[in-house]
Parts: sequence; structure tokens; C-alpha cells
Amino acid sequence: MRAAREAGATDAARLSLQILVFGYWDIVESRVSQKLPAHAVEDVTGDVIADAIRSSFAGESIGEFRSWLQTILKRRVADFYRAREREVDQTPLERCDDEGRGAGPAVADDAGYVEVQMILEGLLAELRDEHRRVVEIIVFEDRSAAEACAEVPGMTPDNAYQIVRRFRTELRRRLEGDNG
Amino acid sequence: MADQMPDVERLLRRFIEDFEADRSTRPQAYLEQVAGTDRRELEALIDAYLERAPRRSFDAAAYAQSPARHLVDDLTESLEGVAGTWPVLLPRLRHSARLKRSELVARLAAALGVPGREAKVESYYHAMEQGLLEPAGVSDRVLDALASLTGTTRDALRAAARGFAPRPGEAGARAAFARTAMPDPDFMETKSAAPAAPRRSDEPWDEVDELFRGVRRPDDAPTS
Repeated sequence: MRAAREAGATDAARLSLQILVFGYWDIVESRVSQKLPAHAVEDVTGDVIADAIRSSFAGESIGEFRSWLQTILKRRVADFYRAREREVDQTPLERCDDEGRGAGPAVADDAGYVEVQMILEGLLAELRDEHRRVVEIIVFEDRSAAEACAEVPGMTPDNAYQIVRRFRTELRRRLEGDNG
Repeated sequence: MADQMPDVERLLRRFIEDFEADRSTRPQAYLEQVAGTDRRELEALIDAYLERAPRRSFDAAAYAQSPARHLVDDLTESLEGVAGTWPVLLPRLRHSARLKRSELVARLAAALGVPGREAKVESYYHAMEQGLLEPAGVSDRVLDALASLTGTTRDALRAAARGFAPRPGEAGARAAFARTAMPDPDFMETKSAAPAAPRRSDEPWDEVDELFRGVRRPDDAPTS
């Protein structure tokens, strides 16, 4: 997209923009919907994607676009709750229309979201590379242990199940500890 | 504890299947089926899945119905303007604050201490939303007032104005336009129905110009 724009290929730049924004919109919107009230989801989704694109043009982004989206998303969730703390009365706490019904975020504040993310990311970071990949394949990509074994050298189905079971048990233990 | 784990796993798998079949699927309905630690665990796992989920392939028909289309329109304005993502951010902030543009402008003019100059303030604010006003010329007073009215910060507004470097060969022309010209009212009419307040060439430089374009130098060109 940047190359097309710099070359003056306006149509190609616009098409690239369409592909990028459309491709990530549903993922970002779904993630934002877990954290913010329904009335804020669409606007914040747009802000996150726009800021990630702006940052990539400005040369501020390091690494993949997806990683930058993640960083900005966390920042925007934090901004939202900080703003709400400042101006509680501007945010509707209860909605009586369809938009707001039953659509509240799972985590009621930024602190809860950040803690949960830190626990999960910390746990993944502690895993050896091949064990982390097994968890990603089986848990986050919803693929079979056989597929994990095919991708990770030396892995057996029993080992893969054991790695996933230990990961899930430890995640729950830490979440419960964080809860209480 | 252990006998509750299958519920989380089942819901995670069902969410992934449903999301991959229909990308408008959202997590709330799945999260509402569990509580306490189960819910926190499921939320963390769904979020981690979404962080890694493959990008959706482009579909022109779906795109035409998607809110992504509006963002692309705003971003295109941003790419063609001089003010970063102000064309994306400012209308969204105004919308979030539930203010019509005329209401925001009236409050902005009052906050800046220029009552009776709403038309000119509106013209400048419109140029900001269109990405046509050079951000460096916009004073901290304007940004502080705007931030206060829309629930953000001056720093966030300044940060949003950075980026989208001009294409090669455009920098000089854009900068000159931004420093010396009010947006062409005819052009503004084509973008929206907002009333334009053209500044006549013989109109004296006043406080509103200074607030939005910087202090005018004796040799005519306002600083930016």
C-alpha cells in the first residue's frame, strides 16, 4: 500500500487499503467487543485499525502489522477506561435499546483485561518454543494433535495432549490465584 | 475445577468453528454460558485465538456492507490530506461525545472566547475534519478545548495528526497550501453540506486565524 501510494498508483493504494481494513476489521471488532460496551465498539475498532495504519506509514511500527494492532488495541482499551473514570456521567451505564442489551464486556475494566492478558502471555512465554507451538496449534488454531506432531519434530500425540493439559491447568491455577 | 474445564474447551472450539464460518460471530454469547474463572479463562483463550486468527480474504460484496468501508473512505481522506488521521479520529470523537458539528463548534467558540465567530470556527474545524488544515498551526488552546469537549487529550490529538508522509513531489505543494490557504469553499461544499466561511483576501487576520493557523508574520505568511 505504501509503495503504491508513493508510486502515485491511487487505485492500487485504495484497493490495498480496502483489503487490509476489511481483512482485520472482524478480528479487531470481535476483540474490542470483549472489552468495551457495545456503543463504543465500532468507533474504537476503527480507531485501532486507523492508528495502526498511520503508525506503519509514519515508520513508528516495529515488526508485523498484527503486532502493532495488538499494542494499539491494549492502549485504546486503557484509554477508554481512563476517560470513563474522568467522565463517568458521559458513558451510558444502562441502555434500554437493542444496542446495549446484554452486550456488556466480559471484563469490566482495563485492569482486569490487562491482568488476564499478562497471565496468558506470561505463561506462553515460559513455554519452550516447540511446546508453545503445540499449544498454538491445538488450542488457538483448533487443529488436531496429529497435525501438531506433523509440524513439531519429535512430538508424539501423548506428549502434545500432556503439554496442552498442563498449559490449561496452569492457566486456570493462575487465573484463580489472580481472582482471589 | 477439572470437571469444569471441558465446558471452556467446548465453548472455545464452538466459537472458533462459528467464527471461521461466519466472521460476524462475537464472543459474548459464548462467554455468558460460563462464570468466574471459567469465564476469564474462556475470554483469555478466545482473545489469544483472535490475536492469531487468519486475516479474512477480501470479498467485494461483504466489504460494501461492512463498516470497514466507512473507515477506508476516512483513511483515503487522511492519505490525501496533511493532518494524519484527523479525518478518521475527529468525526468519531464527535460522534462518541454525541455532538452535532454545529453544537461542537458553538461550544468550541465559547471555550476559545470567540463568541459570535462560530462561522469562522466552523470553517476551520471542518478543514480539520477533512485533513486540510496544517496541524502545526493549530494552537494548544484549540486542541485543549477540543479534547475537553470530546473526551480525549491534546497529546492524543497531536499524535493522530502525525504520519502519512506526503508522496514524493507533494510535500512542498501541500505545505504551501496548508500555510497560506483556507480550504476552497467550493471544494468543501462537495465534501459535505457544512457551511463554509471563506476568508476574503482583504479580511484582516484575527484571533480565530491565529488560533487555527498560527501567528501571522509581518511578511504575510502565517507561521505553522
